[in-house]
This record gives sequence, structure tokens and C-alpha cells, in this order.
Amino acid sequence: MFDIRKGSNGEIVLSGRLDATQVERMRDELKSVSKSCTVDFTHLDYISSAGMGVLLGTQKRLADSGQSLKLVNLNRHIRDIFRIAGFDNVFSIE
Amino acid sequence: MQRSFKRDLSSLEPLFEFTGDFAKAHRLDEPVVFAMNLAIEELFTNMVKYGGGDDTVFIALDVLSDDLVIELFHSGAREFDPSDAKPVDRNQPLENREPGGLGLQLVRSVMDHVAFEHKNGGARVTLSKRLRGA
Repeated sequence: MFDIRKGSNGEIVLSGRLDATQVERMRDELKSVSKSCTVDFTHLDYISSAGMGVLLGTQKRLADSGQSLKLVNLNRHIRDIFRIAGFDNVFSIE
Repeated sequence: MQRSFKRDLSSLEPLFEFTGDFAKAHRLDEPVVFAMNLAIEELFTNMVKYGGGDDTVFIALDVLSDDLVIELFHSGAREFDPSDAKPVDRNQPLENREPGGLGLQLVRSVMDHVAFEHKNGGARVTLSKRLRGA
């Protein structure tokens, strides 16, 4: 089960499994982001290319106004596929 | 284990239950389960979006000696040449990146062997991943 919510410090907190059935919800939530923001992956177990595409699209939109997403606390599997996709070149990942 | 799934994104939930049951029965490690789920989701969603053909996709999972073997068969599917899917250049700057086209690249990266064939009136994808040392 996937969830996306705002954390106490204004960060975006993802949890569960972000598969292709959940990307519209993710896209809707990220539409309202207009300033630099942290996305916390601590409780996200899984992501596929569908969710990665939404993150990339958001990063491109924010870059037009000099803003960006920072991705934190990725598990090892997600970190690995983000590296394969070159996300370490287009996101700040901690 | 083998099962047919309706060719629709709503099948992802039962599909993950199916792979979860298989993983439990074979005591697969977490990295293997992540890779299996990712590869199957990417290929299945491609069959949903672009495949045409029948409304069901057949999926078989097996462990043969030290390999996880996955097969997806989509009867009546359009012929697909995987070499048409150009790999994403990971070194491109953000402005040149497009949010798409990553799926097959991820499948190839998490599996040891990926084979596409179009025969017997359908598309078959066979994948394997070595379990020992995974």
C-alpha cells in the first residue's frame, strides 16, 4: 500500500509500494510543489519506472524556476536503480 | 508456479501477491524479490500499454538449480523489437532527460538474462537471475 503525505518539516514523505497504479496520486500531490523540497524515502519499499518518471518530470518543472527536489533515506535497492537511471546526476540524493 | 492475469493495471496487486507467495515458498532474498517485482511490473505494464492482443498475460515463476526463471507470455501481442528501445543516457543533464523509456533498461540491469521472442502467435519474455551470490 502506497502513501504520500506532508511531514512535520514540510518534507514529502513516501511510504509503501509506489507502482504504476499509484503514479496518478503521486503526480497529483507533486503538482502543488513549487519550491525546493525534500522527499523522504525512509518508508518507501519499492518504486518502478512509473514513479521515477513522475519524480523526473517534477524535477524538470522545478528546475525552470531554479528549484529542486532533494531525495533522502533511500533503501539500497532504490538507490541502486536510481544510480542505473542516472538520477544521481539530476537529483541531490542523501 | 504459474497463473494468468487480466491485462490491466488493476492486476498489479494480485500479481505482487503471486510473486510474494512464490518468494516465501522459495525463501528468496529481499534483493531478488525487489528485482523480480520490478522486472515483472515493467514488462507487464508494457504489455498493458502497447501490446494489443489477448486480454490475459500468462506468468510462470520457477527456481531451476541456482536460477530464478521468469516467463511472461502474451498471446496475440504485437511484434516488439527490444533494440528499438534505446537505452537512456544516464549522463545527460536534466534538461535533456525525458520521464520515460527507463523500464527495459531497469529490467536488463536487475536480471542476468533477458530474451524476447515472438512466436506461436504471441510475445514471450524469458528472464533469469542467479540466486547464489545475489
